Amino acid sequence: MDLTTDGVARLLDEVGARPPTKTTPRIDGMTPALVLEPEDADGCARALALCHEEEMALIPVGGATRLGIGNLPARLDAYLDLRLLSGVEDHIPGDLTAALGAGTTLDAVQEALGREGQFLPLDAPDPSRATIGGILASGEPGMRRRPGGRPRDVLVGFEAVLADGTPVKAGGRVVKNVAGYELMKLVVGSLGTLAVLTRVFVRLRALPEKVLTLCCSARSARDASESWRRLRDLPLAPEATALLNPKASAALGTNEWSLLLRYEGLSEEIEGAATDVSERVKVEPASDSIWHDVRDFPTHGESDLCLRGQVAPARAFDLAHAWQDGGALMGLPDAGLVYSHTESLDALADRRDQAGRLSGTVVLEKVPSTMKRELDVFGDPPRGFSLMKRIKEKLDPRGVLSPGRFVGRI
Amino acid sequence: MLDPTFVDKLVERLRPEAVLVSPHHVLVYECDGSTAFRQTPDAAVLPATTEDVAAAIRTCVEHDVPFVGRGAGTGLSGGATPAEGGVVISLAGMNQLLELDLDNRLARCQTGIVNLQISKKVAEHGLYFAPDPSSQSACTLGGNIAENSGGPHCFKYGATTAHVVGLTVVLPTGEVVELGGPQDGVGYDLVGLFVGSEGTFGIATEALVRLMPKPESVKTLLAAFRSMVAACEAVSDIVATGIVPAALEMLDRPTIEVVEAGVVAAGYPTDAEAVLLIELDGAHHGMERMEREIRNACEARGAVSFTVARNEEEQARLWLGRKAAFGAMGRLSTDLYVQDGVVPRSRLPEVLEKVGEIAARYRIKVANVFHAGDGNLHPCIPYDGRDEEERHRVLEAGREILELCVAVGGSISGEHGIGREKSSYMDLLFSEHDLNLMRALREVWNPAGLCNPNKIFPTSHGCGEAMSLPSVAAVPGAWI
Repeated sequence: MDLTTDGVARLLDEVGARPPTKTTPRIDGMTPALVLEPEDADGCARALALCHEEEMALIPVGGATRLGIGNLPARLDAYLDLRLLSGVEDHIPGDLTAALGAGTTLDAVQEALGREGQFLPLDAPDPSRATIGGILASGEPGMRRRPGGRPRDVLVGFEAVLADGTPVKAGGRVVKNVAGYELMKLVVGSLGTLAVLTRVFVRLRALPEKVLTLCCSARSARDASESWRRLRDLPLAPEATALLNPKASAALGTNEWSLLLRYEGLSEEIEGAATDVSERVKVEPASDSIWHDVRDFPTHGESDLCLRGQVAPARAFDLAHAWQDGGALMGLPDAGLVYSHTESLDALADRRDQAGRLSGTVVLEKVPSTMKRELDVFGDPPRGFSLMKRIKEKLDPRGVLSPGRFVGRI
Repeated sequence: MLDPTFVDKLVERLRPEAVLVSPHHVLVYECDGSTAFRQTPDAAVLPATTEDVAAAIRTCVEHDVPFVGRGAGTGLSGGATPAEGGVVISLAGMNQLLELDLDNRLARCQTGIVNLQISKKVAEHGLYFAPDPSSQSACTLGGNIAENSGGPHCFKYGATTAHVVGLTVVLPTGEVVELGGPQDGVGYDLVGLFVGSEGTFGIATEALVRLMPKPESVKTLLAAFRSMVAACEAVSDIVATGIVPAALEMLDRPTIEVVEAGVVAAGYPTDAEAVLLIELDGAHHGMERMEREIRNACEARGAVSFTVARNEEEQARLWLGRKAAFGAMGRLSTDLYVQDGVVPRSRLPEVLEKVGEIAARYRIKVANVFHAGDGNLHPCIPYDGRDEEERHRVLEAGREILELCVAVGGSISGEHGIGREKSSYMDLLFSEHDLNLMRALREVWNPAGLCNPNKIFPTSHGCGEAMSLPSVAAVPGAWI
C-alpha cells in the first residue's frame, strides 16, 4: 500500500491512524501498514468509511488472541483495533442482561458481572486479553451446550459498522425479540467479514451456587462413550462434558482416558447429581481448575498444529477413537467437537477421511502460515456456500473486511 | 387473474388435485389468525414433497406470480396472508416425522407436522420438542421456524431457533438447498438466519430438530398479589435469584375476571390484582429448595396467597386459566387487538402502570396476560370494529403502547412476528440503515421479491395500512 496517498494522509489525520510498532501482532506473518484505534463507535464508522473509500483491506482486532484462525488474508492494509471500545454498561441484574463494548476483555466482563453474582456463559482461551467482540466474531464454540450456552444464544442484539462505514443495529436489549431478521446469528462466527461489532447486548446467568467436577477414567474412547451413555438420562445434565486422551490427561495424574463432567446448580441439585452419577459409573472428584485446561486446549497445546473435528454429538467418541494415535486430544461430546494436536500435516487427508466417514468436517484451528498457502483451513466449501458468498458480496462488495480469511476464502 | 397457462403448468408439474383455483376452495387461505388482513389468493397448492414445492415455486417464478408458504394459519401477524394475491403453498399435508436419531436426540420432520405431534411421537423415549407456542396443538413446525416462535417455556429453553439445527429449504428461485446438520458447521449460520425470516427467505420443507429429555419433576405454583406493581417486582426478584423457572406467566385483574366468569374457571382469587403462574422443572433434588426460594421472593413482595399444585390434575387446572384467558376474551367484544411488545423485566412495573394510564386516556379496556419472565407483554384490547371512532382510539393507544415499549429499551414483537400487522411500526425500532441491511439480505435470498411480498418492511402506503386495525380470532380454545 502506498502510504503517501491523500487517502492515507486523511486517515492519519482524521482518525488518528498510526504505523505499526514492534509489538503489533502479526497475522500469518503479515503486519498492516496502518493501525487504527477508534475511541468510540463514531470513530470506528469514520475509519471504516475512509478505508472503504481507499479500498483498503482491514481486519478488526481485539486482544489478538486468535489471529491464527482462518485462511491467509488475501490482503491486509490496516488493523482496526477495537480495544478502546471497552466497558460494561447497563448491567441490570433483574434483567440478566448487559451492554458490553466490543473491546471489553472477557475477564473484565466477568469481574463486573461477578460483583452482582452473575456471569456471561462464554469461555475462550486467554480471557485476560480475549475481547467479547472477538469471541463472538470468531464463534469460539466454548464448552457449554445446554440451552443458552452457545455464543449464538447469548447475543440478543448488537451495534456494528458495515464495510462502507454505515452504522447499523439489530435485535435489542431484551431477551425475547423477533422484530426483524436474526442478524445476531449471522454475525456470530462470521470472522469479521461482514461487519465490525462495536457494542453487544448479551443475556447473562446467575453464578451457580455450587460447581462440581467429576472425573471418570476409561481405558479407551469407546469405554468413555459407554459411561457417557449411562449418564445421559440422569435428571441433572452436566453443564459441560470433556473427553481427554491419555496424553491430555497428564494434569489429572493419570495415563488413561478421562471423561470430565461439570455440574452447576443449587447445592441440593449437585449433591443429588453426585449420588446419581456415582451409582452408575466410577468417578473421582477433580479440581474445577481443570476446566481452564479444557478451555485453553485449542491454543495452548505443545504443537503448531491443532485440528477441530465436528461431528454429531454421539459420534465424538468414534472420532476420538479414530484420531487417538495423534498427540493430545480433547473432545466436547455434547457439542460433537474433537480437538487434536498433531506433529505433522501428513495425516491430514486421513483425518479428514475419518471425519468424513462420520459425516463430519475438519477445521484447522492452528496451522503454520506457510501451510495455509496450499490449503483451505475450513476444508471444502460447506452446504449453502453460494448463499454465503452472495451475502458477503452484498454486504461488502469491495471486499475490504477481512478478505480471504473465511470459508471458501470469502 | 391468473394466466391459464400458469395453472395448466402447475397441474402438469404437480397433480390436478394438488392445485386449487376455485374461489370457494381458496377462500380458506385468505387470512391467518390475524383476521384483519385478508387477501384471497388466486390459487393454492398442496405439495406432497420437497420437489412439489420446488416445482410450484419454479412455475411462479417463470410467470412472475407471488407466493407464500403456509402451515396451519395460526399466526397472529398476517405472516401467511397472500398480501399481493398469487399462490399459497400449503405445507399442511407434509406432516411426517421422517427419521428419529435417538443417539443424538434429533428428529428430521417435514415442516407441515403439527408442533405437539413431534412431542407425542417421541414421548415413549422420554423426549419432547421444547418450543411450545400456545397454538401448539394446531400450529406447524414450519410456521414456528418462520416466526421463531416462543411460548411460555421458551423463558428457560429458548425460542424455536435454539432447537433447529438443520433445514431443507426451497429458495425463492426454486433451487433446493440443505443447510446445517447434526454437527457444527463452518461458514455463516444460515439456519440461524433463516429461522425467524417470516417466510421471506424461502420455504423450509424439512427440519432437523433437537429433542430434550423430559424433566424428572415439575411443580406448578400460583402466587396472588394485591398490586400489579408488586407482582412485577416479584418477577425481577425471582429472575435475580438465579433460579430459572420453566415458565413465569402473569394475569391481571381484568383477565382474572374474564377467566373466572367463564365456564372454565380455574379458581384464581378474584380479589387479586394480579397472579403469577410459575412452573419449575428439573431434577427432583432441587425442587423443594426452588419452591421455597420462589415463595420467599413472592412473599417478600406481599403475595397474599401462594398455591402449590399437589398433582397433575391441579397443575392442569392452574394452567387452564392461563390457557383459557385469550379465548374467554372473545366474549368481551366483537374484536380483539392483541399486542406483543417486550420490555426489560425490571421495567415491567412502570410500563404496566403507564399502559393503564394510556388505556384510561383513550377510554379503552386493556387486559394483560403475558410471559412475565421474559418481559413479553400481551395487552389485549377488546373493541367493536364497526365503531370507526373506537377503532381509531384503539389504534392510537396501541401505537403509544408500542412506543412506550421501545422507549424503555424493548421491542415491538416478542414472538408473533412483524408480518403485515406491525410492518408500519418497524421504524420505531430501526433506522433506515438497519432496515436497508435487512432488505439487502432479503434480496440475496429472494432476488425477485416474489416470496411473501409486502411483509416486515414499512411500505410507502404504510400509513394507510396502519389504519387497518389488527383483530385476532379469539375463539374459545385459542390462547397466546
